[in-house]
Amino acid sequence: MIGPGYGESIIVHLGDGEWVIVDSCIQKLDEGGSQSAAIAYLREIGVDPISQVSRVVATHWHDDHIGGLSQVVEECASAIFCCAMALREDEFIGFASVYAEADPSPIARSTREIMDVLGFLESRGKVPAFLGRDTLVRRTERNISVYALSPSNERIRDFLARAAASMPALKATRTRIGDMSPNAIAIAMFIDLGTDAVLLGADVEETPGGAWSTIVVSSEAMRGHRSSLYKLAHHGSDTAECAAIWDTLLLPAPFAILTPNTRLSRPLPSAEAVERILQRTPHAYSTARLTSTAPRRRDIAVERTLRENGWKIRAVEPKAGHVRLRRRLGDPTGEWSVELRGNATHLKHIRS
Amino acid sequence: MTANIDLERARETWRRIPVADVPTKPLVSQEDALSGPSLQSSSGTQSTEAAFAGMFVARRPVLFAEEQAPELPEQFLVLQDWEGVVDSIGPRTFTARLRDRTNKETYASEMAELPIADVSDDDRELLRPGAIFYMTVGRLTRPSGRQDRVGRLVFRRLPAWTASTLRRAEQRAERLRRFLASQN
Repeated sequence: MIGPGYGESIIVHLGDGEWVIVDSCIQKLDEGGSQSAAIAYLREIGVDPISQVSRVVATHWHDDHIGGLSQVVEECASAIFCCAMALREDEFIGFASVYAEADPSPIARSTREIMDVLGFLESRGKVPAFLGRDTLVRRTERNISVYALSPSNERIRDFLARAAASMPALKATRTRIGDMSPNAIAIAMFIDLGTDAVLLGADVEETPGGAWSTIVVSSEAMRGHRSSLYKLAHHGSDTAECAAIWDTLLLPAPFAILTPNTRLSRPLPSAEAVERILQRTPHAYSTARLTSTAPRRRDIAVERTLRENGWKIRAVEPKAGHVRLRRRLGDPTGEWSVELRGNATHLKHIRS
Repeated sequence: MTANIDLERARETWRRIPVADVPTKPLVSQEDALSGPSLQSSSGTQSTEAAFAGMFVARRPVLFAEEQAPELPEQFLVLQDWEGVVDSIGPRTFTARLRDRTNKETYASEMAELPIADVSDDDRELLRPGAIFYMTVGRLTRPSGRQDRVGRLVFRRLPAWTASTLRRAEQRAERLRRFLASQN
């Protein structure tokens, strides 16, 4: 999993040179500009994104999960693009088409990004795969299966009702898209490795609505399986915490990974969340430390004015980090080996 | 014979001199006094000779206050400029994600906490999560020449939804719907 400052991207090897990319983020280049972190990593290890990536999954369209998604979709020419079922419905398509036009500023890009991806696929005649609860995403020849665990039909209906209600009226003042809670239709995923399993939590939250409780109770795909590796949902937040995940879906003391989110009023994970997670498992890792955000230095006149006005600014881009976990397929006794690169760290050091 | 004081003509005829030398009353040239219409006085019309009896008439300039120099406009030099998106609103401050426009960043890499009091009354109604604003720090040079460092928050007012924009969006949406439906 890569967390190059802001955002996350998970690159999964299913064996036999087949890869799946879950979510996308960008990383800055030393010479200026940026590139997709996932594409950069695959090229670095000698993987051809064009032919070896079979699926690209956008779990939801918050901008920390789809940065550079257009580039990933265009480069992974053989891959099937997968997204939530709600995105194929009339209400979402109409709503997103309108709000993609609302505001051209770079800072208002996430709706445009997802619409650009769908538009690109349309131009190439490549239909996305739309995922909901227990949808099979991919099964390999070695019988490794990837499933979507969410969103449920009920959540899709609620979301579409909000989208329909948010359609603007003629002559009304334009606004940017409000809070449509994309997390509500985020796609949690489960990878059945045969003798082991992996749970990817995306940004699915338990509060409000009990999404995880629903998954725990009603998912058929995971029945009888427990995962030894868990990508913590929603950056380890309290709203994503559900005891049933740990007690029912995970083995004791699983390996756990997360990316921090520093672009909120209260960065995630909180200190309390870190403590809570470490009580569940000692094998917890983060792609970046929260303390590595060095303040930006500017002209002294600018800094003095900010100070005098009481305007507080902090950098929210921790230095890039990468957590890589590997284990041998088919070996039931094997453990995950952990490699940390860049700013990645054990969770207990996330604030040091 | 009456004479009206032609002040406009006097302005054209006589040169301007400094304010300090302006007398309390305008004077009239000898030609005007002897050949023009009679001078009006509070007691009614009277003959020119009588009007100017005892007065010394000489060529003296009609004086006006010196015109004031035109004001130079204020000048504002931008030192740093951000685009911001409101994230949350508290009782006295609001938080926002900032994109550094001065350094041409393409995404928000900073967070700010700003006083709501610094949002102008006109913009206060625009303060809501997701609202976009511009935050600028610069040097203001006033007409007097004095320089001050200032910070400004200006909220962006998006235009109204037009029929053409909604139509264009609907056309795009319809194309996408047909494409997805055709493949199912």
